Amino acid sequence: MTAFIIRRLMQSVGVALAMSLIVFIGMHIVGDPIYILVDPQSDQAEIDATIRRLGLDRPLWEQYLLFLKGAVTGNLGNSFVHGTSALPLILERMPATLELAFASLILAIVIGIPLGLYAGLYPETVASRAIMAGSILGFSLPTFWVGIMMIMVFAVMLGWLPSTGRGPTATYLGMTSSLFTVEGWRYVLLPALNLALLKVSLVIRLTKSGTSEAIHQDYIKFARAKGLSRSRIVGVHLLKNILIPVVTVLGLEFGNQIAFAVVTETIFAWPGMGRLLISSIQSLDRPVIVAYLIITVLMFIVINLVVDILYSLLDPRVRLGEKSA
Amino acid sequence: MTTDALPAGPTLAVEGLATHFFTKAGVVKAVDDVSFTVSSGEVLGIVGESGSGKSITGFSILGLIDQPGRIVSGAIRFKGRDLRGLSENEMQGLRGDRIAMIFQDPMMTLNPVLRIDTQMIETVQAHRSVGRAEALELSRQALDQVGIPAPERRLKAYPHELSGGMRQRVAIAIAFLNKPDLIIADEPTTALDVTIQAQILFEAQKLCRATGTALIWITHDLAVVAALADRIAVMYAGRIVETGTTDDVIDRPLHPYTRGLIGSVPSHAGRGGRLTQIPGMTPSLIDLPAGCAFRDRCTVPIEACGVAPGVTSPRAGRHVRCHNPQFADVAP
Amino acid sequence: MSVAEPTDPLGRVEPKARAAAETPFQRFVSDYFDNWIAAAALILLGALIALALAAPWLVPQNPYDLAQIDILDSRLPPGTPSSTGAFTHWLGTDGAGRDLVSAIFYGLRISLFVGVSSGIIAMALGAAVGLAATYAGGRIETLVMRIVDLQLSFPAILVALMLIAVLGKGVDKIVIALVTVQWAYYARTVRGSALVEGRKDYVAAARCLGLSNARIVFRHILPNCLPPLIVVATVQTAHAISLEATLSFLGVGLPQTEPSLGVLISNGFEYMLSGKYWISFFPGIALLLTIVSINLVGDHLRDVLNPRLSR
Ligand SMILES: Nc1ncnc2c1ncn2[C@@H]1O[C@H](COP(=O)(O)OP(=O)(O)O)[C@@H](O)[C@H]1O
Ligand SMILES: [Mg+2]
Repeated sequence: MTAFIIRRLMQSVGVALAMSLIVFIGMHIVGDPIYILVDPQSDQAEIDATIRRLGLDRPLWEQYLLFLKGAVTGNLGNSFVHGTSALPLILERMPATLELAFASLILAIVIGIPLGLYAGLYPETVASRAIMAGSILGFSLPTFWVGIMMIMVFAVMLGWLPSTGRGPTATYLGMTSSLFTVEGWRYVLLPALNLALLKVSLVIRLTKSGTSEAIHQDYIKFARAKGLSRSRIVGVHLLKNILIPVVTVLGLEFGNQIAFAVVTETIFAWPGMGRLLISSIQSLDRPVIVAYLIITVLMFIVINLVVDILYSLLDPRVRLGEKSA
Repeated sequence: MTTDALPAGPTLAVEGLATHFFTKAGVVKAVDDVSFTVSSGEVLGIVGESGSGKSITGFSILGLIDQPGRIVSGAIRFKGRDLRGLSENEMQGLRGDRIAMIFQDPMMTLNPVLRIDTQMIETVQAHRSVGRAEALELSRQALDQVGIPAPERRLKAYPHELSGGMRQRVAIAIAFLNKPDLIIADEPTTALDVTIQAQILFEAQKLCRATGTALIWITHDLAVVAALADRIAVMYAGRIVETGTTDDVIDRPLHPYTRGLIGSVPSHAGRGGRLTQIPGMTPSLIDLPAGCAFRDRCTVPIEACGVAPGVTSPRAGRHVRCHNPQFADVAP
Repeated sequence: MSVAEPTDPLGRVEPKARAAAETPFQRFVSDYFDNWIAAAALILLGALIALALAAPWLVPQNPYDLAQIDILDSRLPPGTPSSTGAFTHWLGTDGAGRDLVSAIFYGLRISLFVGVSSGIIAMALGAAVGLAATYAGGRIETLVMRIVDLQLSFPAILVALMLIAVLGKGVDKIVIALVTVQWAYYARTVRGSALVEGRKDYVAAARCLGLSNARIVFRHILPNCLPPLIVVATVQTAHAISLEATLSFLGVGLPQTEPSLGVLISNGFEYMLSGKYWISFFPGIALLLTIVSINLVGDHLRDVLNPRLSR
């Protein structure tokens, strides 16, 4: 198991290096990186100073090492707009985004699994057909438009929930989050639901196909032959088998959720890093964009690593495969 | 034959059981007018080709027939009570407690993501209000009983960590866990290799004799039941075509189909002799034509076979469903 | 080996001739229209495309001819007559006083143009790369497929946002971004089915006949990759339209001078909180109908073109 984790870790470092190279080369292909990293309004003297400070007059390989060093030490240049270092700007807004992505995954599970289970257990019923049709629609609907409609219906027309912003936060076990307050949930509900839309459809489909496959398996029939109650068969024997792929896929989707939070955060004025990215793109605040990219890529790599390890812990069969390998 | 002190009468008496599947393609008469009995401590072998309705017979007894299937008629009297009259809840109480079943493929019957102890303890606790520790101890004993070495360790294992033979022993241990009155073993050794098959046969038989459990052993392999069963029921196309004590049926088969089966058992084909295969295939059970279902493959068909044969008893203790039962000795 | 024509006891050819006369295309069409939802989706999609193409002749005003727009007409609710009294704003007007019906039809033109053109370019590019990789084999193939996998492991919207951050706004830039996010899907599809096709007998037969690799790839493998490519193309085009609308909504996609449906929805968003729902709502419905109809068509094409998957 440790050998597996070490091997996976090394792979991750490899991917991180490859991605840093891609970003670095990308910056050079687009044009002289100085124009990416320096404020367009600065004069020649300033540009020269920055070139020297950033080492852009040195050979390329040295520049790459400098870039790496900057990435590792958290020095990725200053935001043109905010005037402060880019990295802290992103990190400051990260909890709000993570919180949103997390809440949306919770909603996807809470809504998706029961619906998928129902559709898998009773595929012929009208309700099941409606659930499956709805999940196709969920895949097709553009997220941003659904978000707008949610605001229109729940905030403007019905006035049930606030339309924008993040609620009050509370600190619990060293973590500060708006998910720890009731009011916070009122704020996060619509954006999280909006962000969850695609995932709900995904979870429904995964759960449904997993269920309809599993119910014909011998081990379910054997569980019935043992005289177990229906709730135990569905809740333990069936669910535990379905949960493994669902949780794995959802884990891998967490990175996607963070990327897609860009849209949801913009609609609901959620103060996360996605909204910062959009305003940075609009104002050509490139150091912030580069910092965002690096952070997100790192997050992706970490998430993939964690999910892989969790998956091997969750599924006894994988664990054995590793042992014998 | 048995040293049973319980009130007389068989543990299970199936009478005129018919289980049909109402599919889009037509009605599949998977089990049609099947009757047999098993008593305490007795082993009944049900033999027949694949698709002859053996498994469906077993599932019908347990009340595990799913859509589009349905038991359409007959009675399943278990210790005198007709199971068809019971509610789903009452059936659930019987399953795994009074009547247990062992499945064909040990690779598929245990839940891959649950540990052996979980799968055993839940079986105990589904039927008895005992604590976890006690259930665990019962499970350990059950594993010990079926000859699993180091049961404590096996209890902590996941199914994939055990061999096929070991898994089937676990399944058998689960079946015996609540000391049932009847066990239905549906080809439990088909998927295993021959030596393990023999061990498992032996252990299952021993346990049944010791506990007085009635055993229905389903198989497509006549050689298996010959070594194990007290009585044999031969099944063909959803019907039982011949019954009798094991020795009697094997030495003096009346039905041409039984004769064909015996001809295809290596030991009976004689050394150097030809291993006969019954030509043809089990007919489709959808909308079976009138008359004897074996007619097209029969070596000795007669005019009367155009009408479905009824059950006759040409010899004491023997029943056969054939217009032209054969009395000559089986060819060596 | 030839199969004998089935004959009845009198030696006559059985009447299966009619089925044989049916071309594969005819059978495909009749298979497709067996499903009424898919048929309706196709008709709807056709209607949307026709409306978009014919927009200049159908709608009451050219929403981008400033001479035809009156700012006094802005934010009129649906069903209000225009100030000149010449026609009725059936779906209301937007913040600049444009008739929404007209704006939607023109917007549909732009959305479809961007989606379809990026889809075609990406398909050509991706298919070429995929085929070339398969053709080259070995290291090159592995490398190309690694790149494809790496790109597909990042969400499309992130890749597109980064490109736009670098490239800036504009129709051409958006098309470039959409092509970049999409090509990998096509490359993977082509390679996947090329691998499957490559194992089949007819390719082995072609090899035995001594045909060149290039000829095998382009004359034999490519045509057989087409069905999955078509399916991927429909789904990807819907995806591209949705992505363009999303980017435009975020204000980093198409400029105001090229008002696709996404731009229209974005413009209406600011009025949403004051209850003027129609400015965002109706362009959204048009977008929705477009995407859903393309997806339904694609979904059903998958079933019809790939009998292995359909039950
Ligand atoms: N769910 C079902 N739907 C339709 N037919 C079924 C179903 N299950 C079993 N059958 C039919 O019932 C017949 C008997 O099956 P089974 O009892 O499994 O045979 P076996 O003797 O091999 O155990 C088979 O012909 C099979 O086709
Ligand atoms: Mg069977």
